[in-house]
Amino acid sequence: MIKYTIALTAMVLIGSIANAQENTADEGKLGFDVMVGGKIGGSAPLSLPREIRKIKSYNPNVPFFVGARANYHIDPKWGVSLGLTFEGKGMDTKASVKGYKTTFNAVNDSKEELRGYYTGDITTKVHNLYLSVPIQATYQLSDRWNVQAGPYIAFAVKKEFYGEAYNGYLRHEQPTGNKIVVDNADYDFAESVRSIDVGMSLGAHYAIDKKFFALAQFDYGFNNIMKTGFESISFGLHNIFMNVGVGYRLK
Amino acid sequence: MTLFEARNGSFAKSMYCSITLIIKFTLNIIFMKRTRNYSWVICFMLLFSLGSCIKEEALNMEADIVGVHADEDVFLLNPVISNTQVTLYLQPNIDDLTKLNMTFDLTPGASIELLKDSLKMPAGTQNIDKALVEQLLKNGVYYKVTSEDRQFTKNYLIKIVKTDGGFVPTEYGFEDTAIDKDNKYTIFYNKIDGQDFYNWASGNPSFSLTLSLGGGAKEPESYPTKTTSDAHSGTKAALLETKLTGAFGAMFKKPIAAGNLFIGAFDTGPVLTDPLSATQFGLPFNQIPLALEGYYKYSPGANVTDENMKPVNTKDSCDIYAVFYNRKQLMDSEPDPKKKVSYLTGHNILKDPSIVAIARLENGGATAADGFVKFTLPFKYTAKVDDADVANLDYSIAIVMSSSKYGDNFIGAVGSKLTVDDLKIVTKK
Repeated sequence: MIKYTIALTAMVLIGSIANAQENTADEGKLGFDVMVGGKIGGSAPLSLPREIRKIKSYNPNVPFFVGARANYHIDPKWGVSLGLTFEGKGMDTKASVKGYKTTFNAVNDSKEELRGYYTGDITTKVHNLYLSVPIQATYQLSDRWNVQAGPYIAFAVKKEFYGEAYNGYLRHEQPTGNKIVVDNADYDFAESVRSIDVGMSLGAHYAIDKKFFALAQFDYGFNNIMKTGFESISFGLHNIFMNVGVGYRLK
Repeated sequence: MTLFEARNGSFAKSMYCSITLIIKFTLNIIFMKRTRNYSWVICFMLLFSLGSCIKEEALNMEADIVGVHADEDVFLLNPVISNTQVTLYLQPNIDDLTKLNMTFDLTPGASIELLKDSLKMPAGTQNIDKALVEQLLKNGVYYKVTSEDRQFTKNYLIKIVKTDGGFVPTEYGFEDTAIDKDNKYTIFYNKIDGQDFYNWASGNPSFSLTLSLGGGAKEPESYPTKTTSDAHSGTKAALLETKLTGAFGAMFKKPIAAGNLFIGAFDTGPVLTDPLSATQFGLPFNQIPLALEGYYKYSPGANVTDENMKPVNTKDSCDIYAVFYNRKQLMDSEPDPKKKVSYLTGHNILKDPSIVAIARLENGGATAADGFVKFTLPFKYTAKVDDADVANLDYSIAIVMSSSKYGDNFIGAVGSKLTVDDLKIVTKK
């Protein structure tokens, strides 16, 4: 439901900006920015579940964004913006887990799986690319500072979610089931990644000069990035990222 | 570039903590000069600060017996512990079991209790300890292990085996079978003078993984190792059949499972990582074996395939053999006490230096017509055997049967069937 609301809002907004463009009287109220930068974050549970005993390593992967944005200034302080961003939301992690209820799927065959409780090490590699449409309210705090907040809708254009379980064991079906040593067992959940991610952004721009600005933006995905019914990870994963970059004011 | 790398376990925070710090830092800069109440910003921050780091460890869910000890050194072998059964082999000449006083090593936090229902008190007996020891020796007693979190329990059949006079029977009719409670596969055992001996093991426990993966219903007939009413004598014989492993095979490159039956134990632990070491062959034997006799019939499946399911231009054959080895020598040859084991595995069953004699079916091809064929396989000795050491239980015997001779390397024909009945170890009198 949320995504339809947002899609509708986006359409109305695009329409109004297009209208504004035609209206020469409003010309001074319209601005365009382009932005590029890096990001840090992950596809991660809101709060770490107890099953995760240790994060052994964490690396951002595909940590970039490049985007453009149209701004409409309602008054000297307030405005709205509509953007289009191409960005990577990814990470490579190594973690130790204990009694982690999961399944090992035969690749590309999600119906047949080895179920149980896994204790040991896992790597998780998420390399998803999204085309995101943020719609934000903007507020000019001072000459140099501008803050923004608003929802975004992101469409996955490339999905990768895979990894390996190693140096551990699986209790088959139940914690009291047969114990099976697991090493180098691969999993691939790419097909279970949702195509749409909806979330909220909160950001700030700092004007370096008339044209360039530095930016920081925090993105939080409301929905689990995995499809409903996906059970191999017993907790929801959310895209949570911090973007840092530079922008250039075209107009 | 690694942003966070664990060091000596001191890295107890998740990346969340770091992200939270970055956000706080950024917001502090932004709002440094502002005093307005951005309550939603604070909410946002709180959301990510709360419980974003490694949680306290959950209580254990597992309920395993991992070791058994007695007050005195009374065991001949390390306890043989499967997922639901513990077999304890006493040294010869241990008569007084009152000093046994078993203690169990369990999953940390788990507890164990005797299942009183499983202990049948003989009429007129009030002495629980005496009744317990008697039943431990006879049919075994069930103990219940409860996990630390109290959510999971598992029953173990605990059995003590006296080894005086030998305990690996010399004759097997395959008449006594049980069905595994959870996975419904056939277990062969031997009832001799009212005592139960769980000497036979098979790969059935690992085939239950295949069945869990959509390979069929969990019932005795679905498994590679089972019984048949097509017996040479009595009402049952052992039937071993090479089966497809389906999705399981696709996942782990183990496309077939030969039916196998052997004296020893099966450990599901290494079935994915090192399947040859899952089969633990051999148990102590205190007689000198001369021949392995029995009756069998074998019909190989049509198409032999290899570990990649590629056709192999050969006929499948079965395998029946027995190995007599110096267990003491085997154990002494391993300096690492952690690796010291009393059994042979798929890696060394036919080539360990401790082996003194092997009896093996030379031609495991199809048997003619439909009838049973008798085999007599002499033990071929390659080393001297000391009679006194044998009597002292320093040696072990393994009998191994398989419906596909190279099934341990996943080469065989699906549908190959080996039926065996009335096995006998002929010994020196």
